[in-house]
Amino acid sequence: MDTILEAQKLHVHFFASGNVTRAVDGVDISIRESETLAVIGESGSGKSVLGLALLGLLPANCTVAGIVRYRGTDLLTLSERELETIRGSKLAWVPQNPAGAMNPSMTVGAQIGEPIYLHVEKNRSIVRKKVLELLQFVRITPPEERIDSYPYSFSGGMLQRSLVAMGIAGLPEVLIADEPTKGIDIMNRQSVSALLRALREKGITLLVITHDLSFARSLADRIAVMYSGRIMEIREKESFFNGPLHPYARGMLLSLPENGLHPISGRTRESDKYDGGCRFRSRCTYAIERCRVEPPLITLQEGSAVRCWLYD
Amino acid sequence: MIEGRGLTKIFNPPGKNRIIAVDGVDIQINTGETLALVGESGCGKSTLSRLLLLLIPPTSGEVFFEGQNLTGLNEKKLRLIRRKIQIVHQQPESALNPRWKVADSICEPFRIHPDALPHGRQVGEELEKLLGLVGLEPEQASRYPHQLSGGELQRAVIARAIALEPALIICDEPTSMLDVSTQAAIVRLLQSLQQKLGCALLFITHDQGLAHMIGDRTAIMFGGQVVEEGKGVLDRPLHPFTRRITSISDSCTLPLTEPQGVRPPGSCVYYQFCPKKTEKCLHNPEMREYKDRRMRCHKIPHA
Repeated sequence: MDTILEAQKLHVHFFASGNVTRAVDGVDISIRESETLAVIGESGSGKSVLGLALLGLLPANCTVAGIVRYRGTDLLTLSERELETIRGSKLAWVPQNPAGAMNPSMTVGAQIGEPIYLHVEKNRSIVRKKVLELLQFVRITPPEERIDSYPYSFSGGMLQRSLVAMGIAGLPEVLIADEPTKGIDIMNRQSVSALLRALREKGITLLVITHDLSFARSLADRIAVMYSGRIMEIREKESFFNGPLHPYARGMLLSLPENGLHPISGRTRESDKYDGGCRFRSRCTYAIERCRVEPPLITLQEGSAVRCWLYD
Repeated sequence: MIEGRGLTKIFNPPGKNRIIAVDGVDIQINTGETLALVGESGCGKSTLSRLLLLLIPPTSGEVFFEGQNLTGLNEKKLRLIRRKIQIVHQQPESALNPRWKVADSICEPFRIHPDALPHGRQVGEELEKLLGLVGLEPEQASRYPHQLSGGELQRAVIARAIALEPALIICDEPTSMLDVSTQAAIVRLLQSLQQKLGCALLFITHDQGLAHMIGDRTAIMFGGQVVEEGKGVLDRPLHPFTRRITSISDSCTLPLTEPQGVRPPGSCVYYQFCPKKTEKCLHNPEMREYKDRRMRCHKIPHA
């Protein structure tokens, strides 16, 4: 399969009060056309910043270095104007925190229609028709009543589905969804999951950022594990869940309630105090002398790799 | 220890239909035990927890704490009771005052109840003890909430909750915004504190796996009512709603059931969704006692 979106040696550093926070620190990742890739990892591991960096949506107080390539075009070298022709129409973003992501003073319909108007269709009445179709597709019913409602009148699950509708309104090839199931219950999670699966069947490439492991398991083709700004492991879904390789990934699976709720000992090392060794070393039960030097991402086979000396 | 009898809360938003958030719930939590309360968003879990604290007045029903009826007490007397009942909210980011240092928030209970401080102890000593119990560094407590991660904030919120050595901690989805490894750490922390302090936990969650791990008993809520409650309800579900949510587990693949028609007034709360409804179900079933559980359902299996 062809690579549709890839990052090479991607770094995103934030500067605040004299400190450097390396949110994304040398990420290499390639997303294949029509696949669903789930990026998992704990809060603060840089998952969301990675997603934003792929879209060029980061704030000005950070530096981005490396390459982000969409179908061969390096997005980081494009001007904001050139980027706007791609963002929203080819690559789209579903933000986290649906309650805060919507404009409270605009109707939901107007917000979903915005990308359609910008990228697809200028005729307002056709835009409205398309928004009604989208609302029907994401099961916000009856669409005719809901299109002119304001966000406050929607439940959390409905807002999340509206955001997905907004994301796919510009008919993108790649949709990046940030924590689409955070803080919603099992029924709503199921409906978001069913919705993303329907998109996947339409051939849309999905990058799903999540810490919900069962959700990732039900949806993804491949799993990428992020820790402290780095990709630690990237594998096919089945082989990952049957036997995660990286000690961090193992610890994460063991901390699930159904596996006994065993927390990973120690705390996340703050990424600004980086000393050159493996980033998981201080919490790792397998740590050896060699881990003072950071391992590279060791390729096991096509499309699967792990960053740990145990597999060298 | 704490008991709610026939708790009902009806909201009457102006210009809209009235909402029965909690509908005749009987709930009881014993000293030192953990009751897991499971249900989907909007089923009234959080409203129930607020009713138990009388943070909002119930439309009808009563709350008893250690034999004392709390309904009808004035604010001053309630405040003394509330020392014994603490709450840990879902969103640690908004549970602490953003303009106070974390340490000031943790010590706030001692400012409200100066007499709760053990004789001759300084607030600083207590703070150190509390930070040690929840696993925070003193340096982290001197920061502001926005400078800590979600897991660290939740530890701070827990430190504040245990400051007055409560008899009951109500945990309202304390880990739903946290990632899995942090969740495991927080839940283990709550369990170890429960052993050390002997307090009871009301653990509200929508994650049945978690409820299963932590709860001595589990209560399942739907549409404002507790529909099934007992020791092994997640292992051996009998109520159609419990069966439905336990069959989803983590597969995420079942199609959604849409409600069928409208709920006739006075019917079972699960009427529109239930695959096994009969004519009997047009009348809301009473809570009935069985060998190992209480349940509201007409379709009684031979238990």
